[in-house]
Amino acid sequence: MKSRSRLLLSGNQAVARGAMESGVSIATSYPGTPCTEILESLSTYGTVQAMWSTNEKVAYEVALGAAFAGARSLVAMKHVGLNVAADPLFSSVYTGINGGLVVVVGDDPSAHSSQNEQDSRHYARAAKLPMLEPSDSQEAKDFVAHAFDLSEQFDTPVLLRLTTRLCHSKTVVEIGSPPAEKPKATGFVPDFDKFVLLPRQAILRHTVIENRLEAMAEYGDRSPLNRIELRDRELGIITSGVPYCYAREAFPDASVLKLAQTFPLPVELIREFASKVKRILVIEELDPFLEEQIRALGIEVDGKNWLPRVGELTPERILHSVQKKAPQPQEKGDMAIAGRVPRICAGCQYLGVYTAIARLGVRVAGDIGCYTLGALEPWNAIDSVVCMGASISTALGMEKALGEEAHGKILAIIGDGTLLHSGIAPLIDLVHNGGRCTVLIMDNSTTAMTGLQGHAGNGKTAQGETGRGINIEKLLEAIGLTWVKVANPYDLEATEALLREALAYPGPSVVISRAPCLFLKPKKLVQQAHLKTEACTSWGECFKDGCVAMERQDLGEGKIGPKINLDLCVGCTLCVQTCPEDALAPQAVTPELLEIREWKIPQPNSPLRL
Amino acid sequence: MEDTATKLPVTALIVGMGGQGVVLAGDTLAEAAMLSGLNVKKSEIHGLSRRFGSVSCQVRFGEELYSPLRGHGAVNVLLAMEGYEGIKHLPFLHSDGIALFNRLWSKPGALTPAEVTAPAAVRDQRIGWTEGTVLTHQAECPRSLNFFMLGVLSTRLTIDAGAWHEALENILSAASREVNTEMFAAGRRSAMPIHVRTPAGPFSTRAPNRASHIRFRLEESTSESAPITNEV
Repeated sequence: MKSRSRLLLSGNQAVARGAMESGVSIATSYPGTPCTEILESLSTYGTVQAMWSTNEKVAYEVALGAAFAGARSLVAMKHVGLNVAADPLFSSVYTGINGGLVVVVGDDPSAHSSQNEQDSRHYARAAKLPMLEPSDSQEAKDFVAHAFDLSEQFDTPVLLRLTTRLCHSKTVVEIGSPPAEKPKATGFVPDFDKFVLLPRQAILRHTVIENRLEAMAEYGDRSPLNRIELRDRELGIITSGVPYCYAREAFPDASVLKLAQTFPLPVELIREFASKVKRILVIEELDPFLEEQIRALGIEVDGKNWLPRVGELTPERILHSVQKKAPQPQEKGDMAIAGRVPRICAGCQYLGVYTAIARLGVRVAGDIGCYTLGALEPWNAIDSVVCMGASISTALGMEKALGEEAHGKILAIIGDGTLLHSGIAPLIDLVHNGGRCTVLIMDNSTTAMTGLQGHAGNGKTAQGETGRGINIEKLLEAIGLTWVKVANPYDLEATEALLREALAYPGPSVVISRAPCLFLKPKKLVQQAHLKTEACTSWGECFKDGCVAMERQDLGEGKIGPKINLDLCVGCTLCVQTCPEDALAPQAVTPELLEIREWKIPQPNSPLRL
Repeated sequence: MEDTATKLPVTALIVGMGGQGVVLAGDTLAEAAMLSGLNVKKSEIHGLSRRFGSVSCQVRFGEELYSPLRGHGAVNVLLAMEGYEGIKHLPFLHSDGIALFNRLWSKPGALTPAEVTAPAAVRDQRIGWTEGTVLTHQAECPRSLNFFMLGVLSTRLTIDAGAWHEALENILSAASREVNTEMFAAGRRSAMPIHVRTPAGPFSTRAPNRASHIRFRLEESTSESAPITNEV
C-alpha cells in the first residue's frame, strides 16, 4: 500500500497506531469484542512485542511487569475482561509504574456481543486511576500518546475507555511517525515501599493515591483535552466520548463542555462552564456517572431523568427523549420482521454434538464461545451461560445442591480456549471437592468466535508462529481426572454413546469432542449431502442438526421438503445420520463442482499494515 | 441529494446477512468518500452476526459531520443486499430518502415453521429493486453481490469514478480485485439509465482465464438487463 498521512482507521486500529508511535514495547490482550483488533493491529508492528495472554488478569500482570521494568506497555480487553483483571488493576494503582502503562477497556453499550452491558467507568472511580475517553479515531490515537505521558508524569496506570461504537467506527486519522529506533526498557529500580505491597506499605501508598487524584483533578482543569465550546448559552451540554458526537448533531447550537478526562473530574472547569450557561444537560451512555458527580458539586443538571440508561444513544434518540422528557426505548428495525439468529456454520462439529446432547435429557451449564449458539433453536441445549469459565463451577454447585438425584444429569460444556482462560481452576475444584458431573470439552483448536486467535492450546502466537501446544489430556491427568475419553463429533451415534457412558460413570468424567474449526483447517470437499426427494415426507421431524445448508422448499400441495444448498454443504453427513427415513445420502462431488467451490472459498482479509 | 452531497452530510445505511460482504462494501464507500476529500465516519455492527445473522453498517460523509451513527428517519440512502433486511431497516430511512434493494428473499429464522410475511412496507415507493442476485449468478460470481450493489449505489452519489476506482484498488486484495471491480462496473452499468454497448469480446487479446470469461458473460448479460424498477 502507498504510504499516506491520512487514513481511515477504526478506533481499535487508531489505538494500536498511537501506541506504536508512542514507543510501546510490550502489548498484551485477550480476544474479545469490541477490542480484539487492537492487539491484532499491534502484532503487525516490528517495534512491538504483542502477546495474546491466557486471560485478562495474566495480560494485565504481564503489562504491569513490563512497566515495572521501565518499558512502555499497553493492555487491552473488553469490559467483562476488566472484571477478570480487577485484582491487579486495583493494586497496581497502589504500586504505580516505572515505564508508562495504558489500560484499554472496551465497553459494549447495547450488548451487541456481550453477556452484560456494564459501565466500566466505575472502575476508574473504584480503583482510583485516571481515565480518558476519546470521541473518534483521531482522538483515540492522540489520547494514547497523552495517556502514556500522564501515566509517567503521575506514576499511575491510566484507563483509556472505549465503546463498541468507537472501536468499530472508522474515521479519518492524520498519522504520525514511528519511533526512530526500537524502544527499550529503562530497567527496574528496586523501591521496597512502592513495589512491595505489605499492609504497612499499602496504607502509605493509599495516601499517595489520594494526593495524586487531587493533583490530577487540577491538571484536568488546565488540560487542553478538556474544552469548553461556547455557542448559544441557553443550553450547555456536558458530555464525553462518542456521545459528544451525538450531542453535536442533536444540538448544533448548544454550548458544550467536552470532557476527555472523565476521572478525576476537572471540578473548576465544570464550575466555570456552569456559570456561563443557563441550564445544563449531561449526555452520557449507560449510567449517570458524570451526572451524579456533577450534581454532588451542587450544580443543577438534567440527564438520566430524560435520557435512557439502557442501550446505545443516537442523535435521534437523544432528541426524542429530550423532547418527550422521557427516555426513548432502543431504536430497532421493523419488528414485524423476525430477527436473524446467528447460526452454527455448516459442517461444524457442534452440529453433531448438540444433536447428541439434545437427546440426553440433561441440564447443561454452558460457557462463552461459538458453542453458546447451542442455547438457541433448534437444540435449546444450554440452560445457563454466565461468564468465561463458569460452566464447570456452576455445574458443580448445582450438583452439590441437588445431591444424589442429580448424578448423571448435569453436563458442563466448555471450549478449549475458555478452558485455558478460566476453566482449569474450576476443574481442580471439581476433583478436589468430590464433584461427579461430566465435563464436555469442545476442542476446535482455536479461539473461533473472535476470529481464530491463537492460544496456549494450539501454541500459535499473535505473530502466527507455532510453538508447543498444551496437551489437554495430560493436563487433565495431572489434575486427577481419570475418566477422560475423546469423541469424534462427526460420528453421532458414538458421540451420544460416549456421553451416556460418561454421565453414568460414578466419578467426575471428561469427554473431549475434538475437530479443528473449519475456518482453521478447511477440509477438502469430497462429498456433499444428496437428497432423494421422493423419500422425504416428514420435513422437520428429523431436522435436529439445524444446518444452514439445509433449506426449506415448497413441494406443492402444502408440503414442505428439504433442499440442500450446495454452496454451503461441506459434506459432513450429520444430516444423513439424523434422517429417520433414509432420504439423504452422501454423494461424491464432481471435479467441475470442486473447481467452482474453490473459487468461492472466501479469502481471509490480510490484517491492515500501516 | 446529489446537489447537497458536499454541503450537508449524506448518511448511507448498508444492510444484509452475514457473509454477504456488507462491511467490505461499507469500507469501500468510506474510502471513496475520503479520497474525494470529504470527511467520513463509518460504523458497523457485526459481532455475533457471523454466519447468517444481520449485518449493517452506516457510512456518513460530507464536509461537517460528527456522529458515526444516525437513528430513525435520518438515513438518506438505504442499500439492502436482501429483502427482509431492507424492509426491517426502512424505519431508519428519511421520508425523502432512496432505497436500493437487491431482489433476494431469505427468510429469517428458516428453522422454525412460522412464516414471515412481507408487510405492506414492501410496496414503499422509495424502494428501487435490482436483480443483483440473478446477474451475479449469471456471471458465476455470486460472492461479488456486494460490489455489484455498490456499483448500483455509486450512480446515486456524487463521488466521481476516479475516487471509486482508487478505493477499489486500495480495499480489494489482489486475488479478488479483478472480479469485484468487474462486478462493480456491472452494477454501475445496470443502474445507469442508458444501455451499454457490448464491445468486442476480450478473448482475442487476453488469455482465456476465468476473469476474462466473467467479463465476457457480464457484458452480454448487462446489456439487456432491466434497470432499477419499483415493481415488487
